[in-house]
Amino acid sequence: MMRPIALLVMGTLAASAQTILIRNATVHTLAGEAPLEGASVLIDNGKITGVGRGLRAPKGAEIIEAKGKHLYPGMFDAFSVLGLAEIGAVDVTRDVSEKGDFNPQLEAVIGVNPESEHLAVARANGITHAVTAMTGGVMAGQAGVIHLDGWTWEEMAIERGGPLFVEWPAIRVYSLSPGQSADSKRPTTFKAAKEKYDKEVAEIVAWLDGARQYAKAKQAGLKPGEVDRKLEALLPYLAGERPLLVHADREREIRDAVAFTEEQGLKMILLGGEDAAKAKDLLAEKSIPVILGPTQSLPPREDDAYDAVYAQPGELAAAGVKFAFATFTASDSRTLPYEAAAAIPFGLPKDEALKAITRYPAEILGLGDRLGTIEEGKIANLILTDGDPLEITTQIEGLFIQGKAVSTDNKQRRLYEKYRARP
Amino acid sequence: MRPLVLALLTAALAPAATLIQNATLVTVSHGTLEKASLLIEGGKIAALGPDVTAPAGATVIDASDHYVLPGIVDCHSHLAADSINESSVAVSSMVSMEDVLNPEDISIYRALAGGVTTANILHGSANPIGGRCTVIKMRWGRDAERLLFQGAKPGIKFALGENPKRGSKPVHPGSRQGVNDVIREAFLRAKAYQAAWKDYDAARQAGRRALPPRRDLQLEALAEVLEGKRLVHAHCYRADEILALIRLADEIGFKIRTLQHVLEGYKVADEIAAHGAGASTFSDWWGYKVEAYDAIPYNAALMTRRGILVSINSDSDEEIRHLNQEAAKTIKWGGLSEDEALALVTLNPAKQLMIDDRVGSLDVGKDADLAIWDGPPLSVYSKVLTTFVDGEIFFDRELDRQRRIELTLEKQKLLEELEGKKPSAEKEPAR
Amino acid sequence: MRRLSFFLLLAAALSAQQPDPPRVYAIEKARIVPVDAPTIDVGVIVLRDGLIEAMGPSVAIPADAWTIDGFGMTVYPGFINARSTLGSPPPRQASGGPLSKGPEDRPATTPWLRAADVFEASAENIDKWRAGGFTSLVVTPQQGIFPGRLSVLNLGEGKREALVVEPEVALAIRIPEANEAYSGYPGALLGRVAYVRQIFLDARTQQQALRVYREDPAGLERPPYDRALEPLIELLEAGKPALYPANTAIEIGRAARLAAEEASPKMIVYGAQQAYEEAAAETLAQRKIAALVDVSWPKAANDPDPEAEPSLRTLEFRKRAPESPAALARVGVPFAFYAEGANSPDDLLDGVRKAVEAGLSAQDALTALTLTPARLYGVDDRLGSLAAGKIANLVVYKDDPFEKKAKPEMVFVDGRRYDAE
Repeated sequence: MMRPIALLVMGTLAASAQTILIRNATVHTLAGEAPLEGASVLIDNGKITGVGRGLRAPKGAEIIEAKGKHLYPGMFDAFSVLGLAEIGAVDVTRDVSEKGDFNPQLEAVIGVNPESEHLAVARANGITHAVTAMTGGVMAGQAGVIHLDGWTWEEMAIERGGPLFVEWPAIRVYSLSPGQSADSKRPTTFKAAKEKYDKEVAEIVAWLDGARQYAKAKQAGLKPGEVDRKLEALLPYLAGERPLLVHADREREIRDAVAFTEEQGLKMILLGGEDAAKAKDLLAEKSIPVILGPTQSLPPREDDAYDAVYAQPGELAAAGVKFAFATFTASDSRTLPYEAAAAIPFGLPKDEALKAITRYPAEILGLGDRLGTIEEGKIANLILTDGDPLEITTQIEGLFIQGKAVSTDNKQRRLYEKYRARP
Repeated sequence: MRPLVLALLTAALAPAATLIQNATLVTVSHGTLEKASLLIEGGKIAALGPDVTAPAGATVIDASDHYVLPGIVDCHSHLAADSINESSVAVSSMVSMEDVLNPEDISIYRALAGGVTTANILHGSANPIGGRCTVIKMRWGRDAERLLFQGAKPGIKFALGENPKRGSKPVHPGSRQGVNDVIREAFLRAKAYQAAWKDYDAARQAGRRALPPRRDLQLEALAEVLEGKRLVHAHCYRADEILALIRLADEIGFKIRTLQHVLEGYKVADEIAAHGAGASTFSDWWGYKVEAYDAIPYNAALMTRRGILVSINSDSDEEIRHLNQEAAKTIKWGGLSEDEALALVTLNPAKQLMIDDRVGSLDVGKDADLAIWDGPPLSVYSKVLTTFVDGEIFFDRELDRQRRIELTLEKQKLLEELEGKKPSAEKEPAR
Repeated sequence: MRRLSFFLLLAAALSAQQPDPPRVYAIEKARIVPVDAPTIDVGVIVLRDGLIEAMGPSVAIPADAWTIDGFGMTVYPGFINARSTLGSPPPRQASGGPLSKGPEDRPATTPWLRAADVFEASAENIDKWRAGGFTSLVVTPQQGIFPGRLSVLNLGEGKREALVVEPEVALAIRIPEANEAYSGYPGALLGRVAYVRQIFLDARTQQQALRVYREDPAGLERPPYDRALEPLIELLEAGKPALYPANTAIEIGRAARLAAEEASPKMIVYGAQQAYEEAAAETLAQRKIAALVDVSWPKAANDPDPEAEPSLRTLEFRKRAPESPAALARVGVPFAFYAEGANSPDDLLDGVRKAVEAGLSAQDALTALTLTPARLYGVDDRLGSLAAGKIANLVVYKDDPFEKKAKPEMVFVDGRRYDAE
């Protein structure tokens, strides 16, 4: 059965086929070798089962003719609120934070709304999977990793309990505007700010120590009433089974967080990292990966170079720091490729940019064996394009999530068609 | 900052003539010229084409493999403003952005680095009728008066929808209907104000004694709108409120020059086109509030196809740095041509601001406001190398490198002098 | 510093029967710096009944004079603090208060108030300023946008009425950073500037309307009474200045633009700490705008974050602000000194000393402390220089007053003598 590409775009493809052969494409595997011209990729039961030239379609397989097209791994937004937030200004449509500062037991993924319009909008530009996370407080909860398609959040979840979001405290000295009075929340001297910071760090230590105590007690045997869900939730992180997503921007705080997690025996991913390049040698030495805040951001300080944020990924790459790009939003998730592309004119090699929205985030999150490249055995999250996916004018012509062709149709497209046809 | 920047730039500035040669000239108004040259004289584009040569004494810039694009014009910005909203009243037309311009805002420099040379500086959207707006050129390092785009018509901000409803009661309206009503009421008062002055002038002409009416800054701006002397830039989102404003304007007798944001403009495109309003929209922002939930990235393209003069604006000190890329999105979402896309951030906003006789395209006689790019301006891989305003260089990547070094040294010196701090070896500028 | 300890002793001993202090003084063998006339290297200055009676190299000492040996001393006109909040009720920053729906509601507008009428300073504070060499303060009211009018007060003693030299010399204008004791309009910098402009326009309209109406009210609707505008009209007609805040170069530019508008009164800017920027000083010179320079120079916050490095702009401002008076002097802009938030005369004089270190001549510094403020406020016929007939406000130094830690030997206010302890 042959199906023209255009139909994929129109979203009429039934998503039932289990076996698909995409053939004659330029396949960008990102697995190390040069793009394979005129190659095919075989998908079966959600996984990639073959990559190369001369692959044959098994009986009953759907064949997608992709001559002149490019096949890439689907894009991975390494930090977002996809599925958790619908309308920015309407709080009741947002499930991105909980009251209280320490909520390590919360799982972001169980709040993902599979019908969120943002998922379809992101898909239309080639985003196939994402970290979706709660923020706020200090330990905001466990980020989820999701496919941007599925009937339920459970089907969408790649990892139910992902990395723990930790807002690293910051030393912030406030200058008060008229009418404001100094209080413990707004220290006006470095001394007071440092004291506040030390206290906040000590609080994190107390939670971790509490969890260690709890682990011991648990070994000794807990009665049902003694189960503490928050401490319980910290155990996989203490055991180094899962990483912490540590949000920090300033150099001093980044260095502190690295030293802290090392001392505590925790696995750390730096999140945000506005000044990460200033600590690049440390990050490289300690192999701390980074999920960078949006590249299309203003430099944090007036005297920073105009291209400070654009140039940082290139500096990190040169220093050997592994990083991924992310949008930190739901509605702008579709701009992920441009966050990567924005770093290229300022020093980031193009293939590194592409890997930082596909392969590297998968590796950073411990999913490198399942996602990020086009290789046998990986989950078939793929995009078919008419060109370079980092270029804005490139069209996404086909999208596959867990081996199923998923429509790139969405609310916006429908509104467009509707009003284009207004007499 | 100012003395330093000037010190670095003045030497290089304002030669009598500059020739940019061997460039790809993206004129926007009449196609793209390969291997062509552009001559700047007296701050204006003096000539352009394949055979233009440098007069004696001209500075020659070789731009092989490079592209020259007209300076980007942003029809909606709040940069260089120390105060944005006078939100305490429903009609704040007495206030003026000209009063609060901050020529030292580093965002001006950063916008230049994105190839932007002109921006419409708007009041915020807290009131149905907001403050007076002004058009500036990015003459970084000059004082506030030199930022002003001399000869550009002044504007005024209107705002519909959620934002003007958010203010405190009883000052602000609580519904879209109320917002519309506030605007109607204000214009009725403005008409009465016009009449009072007319009566006074008539009495004076007739030699009758009369007391002068008060000069009312609030109503004066609206009278100027009625007289066509001040351009209305109306912030709006939903189709219903857009249509209601158009009908109100038609009834009262004023023109809406541009609808700003106008995210549902595509739903009432014919009505907008019939009124003659321009539309200045975002490329792809959506979902941040209810009235932005039906926003579509095809908006600019669809409105263009329905005959509306459309621009893409930034409304952001960050977004303004890559308006070229925002324009490219209309090729992807809605299929505009490259020239149409580029016009969205150059010639079209210039037309909307009625300054297209001066800027917006590469044409002989226009101001030499332009930028040299190292690749096709619609590509994510391109960046600005040099930006000219009135033929003077206000941004240059090489000079920027020097500027960073100077800045670092100067800071070290000042820190030593002020605080006795020793210079730290680590403070070399990045890259 | 106290009045002659002799009198204090007497006062303690005799209480109610305190005798009058001497009415006549003669300081002889002193160097005399009149400021607006050549310095007299050795001369006599005679004070009688609060005024300077005579002055010169060879003036006869009256028989009834209490003679002071001024050998090795220099006599200067007493210093004038050109904008002081001493004894002036502080602004209430509380939000809330009556709702102002527009300029017609005249928010935070009390131009009819005179600083002299509400002046409440303790004797200790007056002593303190006087001990530092200051003989007059120009006190500003400080509540609101149009807080009232500034008054010139002598730092003498007695009831406040006795201190007043001139009750209204200029109109105070403030651009507060937050609403003070009102809510609503104007709520931002935008509105505050527009409000000032509207008030100026309204004052012009009212002035014109009243003129027409008073000529012959027959057949004319009467102009509405507006208490806020009357002081402005008086100000305009008397040619007195309005004091407008402008500290940075940008603010100076804005103030100059406003000053150039048709309805604006004569303006003096206050702040002027970035007048070191050539363009700012030149703008003031071209538009003939005088400046009161705030010598509380910008400095780093107390215990800042060591890693939050200030911007170059901030550092440059801190470094160069004290160059501002010299820059103004260079282009011929008249300027005087004050110190925002200063608690003592030393704060102010230390600020002036920094300006001298940054290039201001001692002569110009002295003029800015004496003659210029007197001129700017239209009281130079009484204050600001030494000449027969003027008010006997003097400060006498052994050392150069702009040396660090220099203290006056004695101070005369309205002809009364106060000695250093």
